[in-house]
Amino acid sequence: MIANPIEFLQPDTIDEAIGAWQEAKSDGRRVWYFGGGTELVTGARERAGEFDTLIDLKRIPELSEFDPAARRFGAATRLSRLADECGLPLVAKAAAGVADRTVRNSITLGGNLCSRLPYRETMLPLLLFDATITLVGPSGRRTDTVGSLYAKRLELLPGEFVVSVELPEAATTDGFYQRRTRDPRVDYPLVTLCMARVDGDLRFAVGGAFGYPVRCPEAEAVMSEGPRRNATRRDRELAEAVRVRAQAACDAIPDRLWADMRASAEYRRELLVLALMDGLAHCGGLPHLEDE
Amino acid sequence: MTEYREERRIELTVNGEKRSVMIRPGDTLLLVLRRTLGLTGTKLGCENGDCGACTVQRDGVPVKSCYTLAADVASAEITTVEGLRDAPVQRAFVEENGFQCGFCTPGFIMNAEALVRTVPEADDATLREWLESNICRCTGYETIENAVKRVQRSED
Repeated sequence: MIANPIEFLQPDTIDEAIGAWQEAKSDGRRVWYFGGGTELVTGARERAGEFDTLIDLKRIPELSEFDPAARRFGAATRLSRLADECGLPLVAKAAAGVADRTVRNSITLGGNLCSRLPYRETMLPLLLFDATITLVGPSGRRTDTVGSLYAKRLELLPGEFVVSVELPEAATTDGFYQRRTRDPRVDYPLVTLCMARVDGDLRFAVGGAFGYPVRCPEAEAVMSEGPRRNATRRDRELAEAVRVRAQAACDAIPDRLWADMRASAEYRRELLVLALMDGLAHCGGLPHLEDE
Repeated sequence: MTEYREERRIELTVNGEKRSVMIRPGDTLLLVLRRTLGLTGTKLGCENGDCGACTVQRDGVPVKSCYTLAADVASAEITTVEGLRDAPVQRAFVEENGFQCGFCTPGFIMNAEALVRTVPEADDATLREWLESNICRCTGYETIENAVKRVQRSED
């Protein structure tokens, strides 16, 4: 329940939404855009009085676009639909990793990308494939790559919101996805790794470990160096070389590892190293350590 | 644009009936169902979207009513456990003893009913993925799964 008096507005067009935002701001109201409500409504108990006006974006037709053939998805797409029907393996896996199914029936793609929680896991495949994002706000509409719009979070201008995302054809191929949690059922991730080869180059994006989704080309370069053949567990020298490389890649990421009540920074680092080793084995070119 | 700027009357469709209710813009669906409409089958648990005791169906899709604003579903069809009226999954919960204290049961049933209706041939992994949305503090998960499987078998 939201205890303090609020306004809840449901515009039918982008112009109405922007107009509502401008009007609320000019009245001195604290205004937020609204998707599924999972974060704002539950958070309102702890942070009472944080907002006065909610602008629900789900009725705007352009935000409900769902076009797997064009790999374009509106920001109002629910995560369960994205996971079940988008046809892009890593996008589907990242979406399916968020919360639980009935919550995903409410969470929207735009809401997850712009969440204030540290995870924002649907951002991982967008970073990995450098997806294109369309934003709109009082200063107009702009479309750019995630690489240009993201620095620890989407850099939105005042009053801007996400209209849609579009992924390149590379996103149709599968890659490696691993989500490590403390509770094996439903839990926030300690580390989530999305990894794939794009035009032959190894790429990866990491969630959970740094307090925000991270992709680091320097770490990818470190990870891509070295032996390219399969190995066995008995091939300890090669296995150790892979571990050293995964550790070096981890250390090449300049962002600070996150520590909270779920795990220390050191524990997250070790999980990330293990995930990187598994990812390399999956993506080919480096040892399959499980084979004898 | 539909505007909810202060307390106002809306029409909610609940269990197939139009119900006229006064709501504040910040009222959750859970609150309106229980307090205004007296539909107390939907339980107030964690109020944080975690436990699933408050699960209802929005246009046939299971969602948690504790974080769903009533104003947000004014144009949707809401189904609560009272609206199922002896659905096969309800009978299966009885036959398989799919409950202990019973507090989580309406939420599980609303989720399970949607599962057997929309994914009737769900495999074990899918079944668990769906049921992960609900918590049973008595840990009666095995008999709950058995109840869902009983419905699946009966509809083969």
